[in-house]
Order: sequence, then structure tokens, then C-alpha cells
Amino acid sequence: MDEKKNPDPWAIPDIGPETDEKKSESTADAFDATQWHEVKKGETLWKIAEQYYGDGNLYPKIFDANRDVLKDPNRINIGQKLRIP
Amino acid sequence: MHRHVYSFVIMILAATLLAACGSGDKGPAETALKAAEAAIDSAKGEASKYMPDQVKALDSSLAATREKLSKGDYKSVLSEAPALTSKAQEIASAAAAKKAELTKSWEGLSSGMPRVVDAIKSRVDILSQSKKLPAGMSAETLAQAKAGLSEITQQWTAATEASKGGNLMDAVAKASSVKVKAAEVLTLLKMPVPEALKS
Repeated sequence: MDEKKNPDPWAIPDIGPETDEKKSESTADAFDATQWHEVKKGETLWKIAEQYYGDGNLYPKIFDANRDVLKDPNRINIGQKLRIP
Repeated sequence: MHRHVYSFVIMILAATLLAACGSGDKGPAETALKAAEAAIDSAKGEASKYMPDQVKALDSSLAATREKLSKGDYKSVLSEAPALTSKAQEIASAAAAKKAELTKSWEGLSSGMPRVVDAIKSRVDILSQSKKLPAGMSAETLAQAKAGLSEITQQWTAATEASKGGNLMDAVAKASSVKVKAAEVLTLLKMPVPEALKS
């Protein structure tokens, strides 16, 4: 990915293969209504918030819902599975 | 003349004998009917909640059998009362099984549905804060989702109250309608529909 052409202030350099930090997408709970998102290359919490909420400014909602796996909203890994509240 | 008197005496003796045979059944008929009444009373409490139509039919049959007792039709009572007793026991067993089934359904629903409702509420709250809705979602869709959430919340409260009041049938029926509505709202919000809401 060419970071210089990316205008997104929250753009995060790809830091390699995903770290498997969340496996509960395969939960057997029949009532689980959690929406999960698998991080793809070039994505940021801002972009993900835009996708699901229409508004990137709401990215803190996603960060707060994933405090168990995210320490920094600027650092997400490809392949990481994030809860989308 | 002696023949007439003789015939008359024979008739009186025959009638007395017949009456004696009939009244000999009275005691057993009363006992059998009491047993049926006791079995029905015992079954009624729970069975009325889960199988009201069957209980009503049983009550009607009991009333008919009581009528026969009062009219002296002891043979019919002796035939019908044990069948009523068996039927009462059968209904009691079926009601117990129904109660167990409903209890299990309610336990699953009461542990799972609040999480579904919370997930919907969370998404609706967040979207309500959004300056712009996500692709494929209109303001009308969000308004429909909000109305759906309100309906779900009210109906779930009603289901919970019914359960607390011991009315499991009503609780499960209301919870099932919440499931259907929740699935609709999740679809409107483009959220995944859990397996339990698909059945």
C-alpha cells in the first residue's frame, strides 16, 4: 500500500500478518447477535465506522467495544476480528 | 282368583329383586364417581393452564356422568367413571410434559433474547448519532428499526411479566413474537440474524 497517496489521517501501515486475538466468531451461542468485522488490508477504525455507521467519527464506539484486543485505536491488524456494536 | 294373587305376588317379588340389583350398584357407582372427581380435581390446577380445552371437555363429561348417577343409571356411571379417572391422569401427565417443554423454551429465550435486544438497541443508538447513514440505509429504514425496537422492548417486558405471573404459555408466545420482530429489525439494520431467531 502506498501510504503517501492515502489521505486518511488514521491510515496505519500494514504491520504484517494478523495476530489471532479473537476466536469467538465461531461461538455456538444461538442467540449471539454480535456483528464481527475482519480487518482487511488498508482498513482503519475510521473506515470501518464509516462502513457500518456512515460516519467515521464514531470509530470510538468500535474501539471501546474491543478494548480487550485493541490497546490503541490507531493499531489494528489485518485479519483481526472486531465487534461492531 | 288364587292365580291372580299368585301372579301379582310374583310381579312384586320380581320388581323388588330388580330394584335390589340396581341399588346394589349405587354404592360402587358413587365410589367410582368420587374417584373420578378426585382425579379431575388433582389434575385441574396445572392442566387448566396448559390444556384448557381438554379440561373443559373433561368437566363436561363429569357433569354428564353425575347426571346419570342422580338418575340412577349406575351401570353407565360404573362404565364411565373409571374412564374419566384415566383421562384425568392422562391429561395431568400431558400437562406436566407441556409445562416442562415450555419451561425449557422460556429458559432459553430469557437467557438469549435480552442480548439480542441489547445488540439492536446499541446499533440504533449509534446510528442515531451518525451524521450520515451507512450505504444502503435510509432515514426511513432507521425510523422503522426504532419503531421495531420499541415494539420489541414492550413485548419483551410483557413476556417477562407473564412468566413472573406463572403464565408460561403466554410468556413463550410473546417471546416468540419478539423473536420474529427482532429478526426483521436486525435485517433492516443489516446485522446478522442469530440462528435461534431463524427457527
